[in-house]
Amino acid sequence: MTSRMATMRRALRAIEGVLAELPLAPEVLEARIDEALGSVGAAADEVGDLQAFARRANERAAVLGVPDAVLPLPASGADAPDFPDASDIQASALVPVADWLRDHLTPVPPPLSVEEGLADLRETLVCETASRLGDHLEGLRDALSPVPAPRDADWAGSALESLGVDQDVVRSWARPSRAPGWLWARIRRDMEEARTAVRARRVPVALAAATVVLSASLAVVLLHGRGAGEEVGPQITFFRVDRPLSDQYAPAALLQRLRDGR
Amino acid sequence: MADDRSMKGRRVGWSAASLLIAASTWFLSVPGQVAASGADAAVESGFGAGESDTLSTFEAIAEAESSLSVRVSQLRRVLEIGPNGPAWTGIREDLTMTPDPSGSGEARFDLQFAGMEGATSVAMSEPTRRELYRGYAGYLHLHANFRVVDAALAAQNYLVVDLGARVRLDRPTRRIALLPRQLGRSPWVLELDATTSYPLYRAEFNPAGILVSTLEVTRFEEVPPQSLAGHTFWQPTRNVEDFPSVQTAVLSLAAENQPVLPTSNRIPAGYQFSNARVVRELLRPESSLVVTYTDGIDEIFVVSTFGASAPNLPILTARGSYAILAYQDQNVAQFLFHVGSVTTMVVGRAGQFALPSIAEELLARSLARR
Repeated sequence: MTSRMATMRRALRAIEGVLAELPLAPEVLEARIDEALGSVGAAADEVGDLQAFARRANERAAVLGVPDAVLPLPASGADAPDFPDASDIQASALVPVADWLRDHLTPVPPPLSVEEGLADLRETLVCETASRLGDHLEGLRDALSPVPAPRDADWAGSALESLGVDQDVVRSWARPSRAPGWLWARIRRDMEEARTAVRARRVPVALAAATVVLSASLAVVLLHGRGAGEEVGPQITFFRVDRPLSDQYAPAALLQRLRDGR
Repeated sequence: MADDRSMKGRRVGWSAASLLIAASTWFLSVPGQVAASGADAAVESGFGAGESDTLSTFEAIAEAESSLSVRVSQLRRVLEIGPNGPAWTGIREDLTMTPDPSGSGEARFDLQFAGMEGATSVAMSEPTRRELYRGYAGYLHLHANFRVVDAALAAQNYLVVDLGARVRLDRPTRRIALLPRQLGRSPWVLELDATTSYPLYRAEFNPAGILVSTLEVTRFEEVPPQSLAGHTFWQPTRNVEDFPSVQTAVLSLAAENQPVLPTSNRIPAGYQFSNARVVRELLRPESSLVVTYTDGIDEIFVVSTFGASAPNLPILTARGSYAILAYQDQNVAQFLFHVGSVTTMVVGRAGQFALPSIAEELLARSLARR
């Protein structure tokens, strides 16, 4: 965990350095954040993993309706999964993510709880993802999305603690929350402020452009006697139904019929 | 049935859902996106297979499923999310399979209902269950779980990750994960018999990483093909004719039955035309054209049924808005609309987020053609 803290610390400093240069144009800011995160690849890997798995946990909890439970997955120490061919980065990324999986993923449905395959797949995905996130800054940008990361506060708390922040402050950060991760929340807030400032400067230009477009549209209507809206296609609505539209292509529904005798 | 108060909102909802699915599948697709550049390194590290290994893996599975003579007992399970939360439904099946002596390259098979897993209702007798099951055996065997439709295409669209050696049914096996290289596909975990490459265990995950179905072999017996000479194998219950292209299939239809099919830019990347099949009902005037697209494993079906009466559902809504009926469970998604006397249905796996846009395009073009 020491190396993890060190890389976290470097990441925090690099990002703080970017934030210190605010206000910047959003494009410049995003590029600088990417650059900062990319310069500390191992930390970025860990951040990306945590964000990705936080998002998956959210989706899983939403789908299954089970908020939190324990996955019986060996995580660290003597029970750590055996990845003899993993690189150092992959191995270091695996430990916190395996911890995170154990603590936060919902239980594996019964048929696979006895199968190591799920753990294998997840761990393989983690390693693959961890080793490649550094080369895929698009993924890091994705990780900046405002997806709720309920346990990100815990991770942030431990990072703050390692930086010598007062315990009370750490506790205030580390409480479970469904809010976006504090670091991302701050980055996004700063980016939004920078964008707002840019928007404010662009308002007069936008108004002038809108006036020109409206005038042109009005001229078209007056000259041709019809509006562009008449060419719009039919409005299409999706109706969700709770029974299969064809049993032929719905194995789950068939199995339910066989079970329930309906 | 949902009400129609917020028509536009629902479209936005579908778009949002698609975006969410896209976001959730990104991390699953990462290995695939970089697989081409990292395949050699993957082989060295033991984490994945190279391109040639990937292709040979898919070819070996396809070969096993078309050339073996076997008697198999298997347990099929699917995940459902009910009012009481997630639950699994399991069914036991007996599969008999042997190569087609005509040399078609496809296996002849017979899939029989062998009982339910767990408690069942007494409202249906076992013979009735068997009869009901028989009507769906073809779809269950050929399309409901993992199957290599096109090995070369599968190798382009999936990354094979070796998960090590195992033992199942006292047979040495090799466990692999198949990770899709594109968004909206299901990752799979297979356990292949080391001798024959036949999958003794198949697990389907949705793009969010949730296990949604499994097919587990509980008895595996290779038998001489001659011993199955008198066996009655599965036959379609309806009049089915396969065509090598959509054009030839359409030509076989009545002149007034002209389907609307997806434009190429709506078919998800990596999918190709797979099969065109005309199904004629023996006792009804309806006929259907089933066009299948595949990425080598996953399949998308576009089913146009001509001469069909409108489903007893609110097909047309007020003020000129048209409806697409949508059903989705943990395994499949179905989208259906009816224009004139043609019912069109788009079917695929639940994680394939391109399906709504395919259905929407087909409906818009069907309406424009009227």
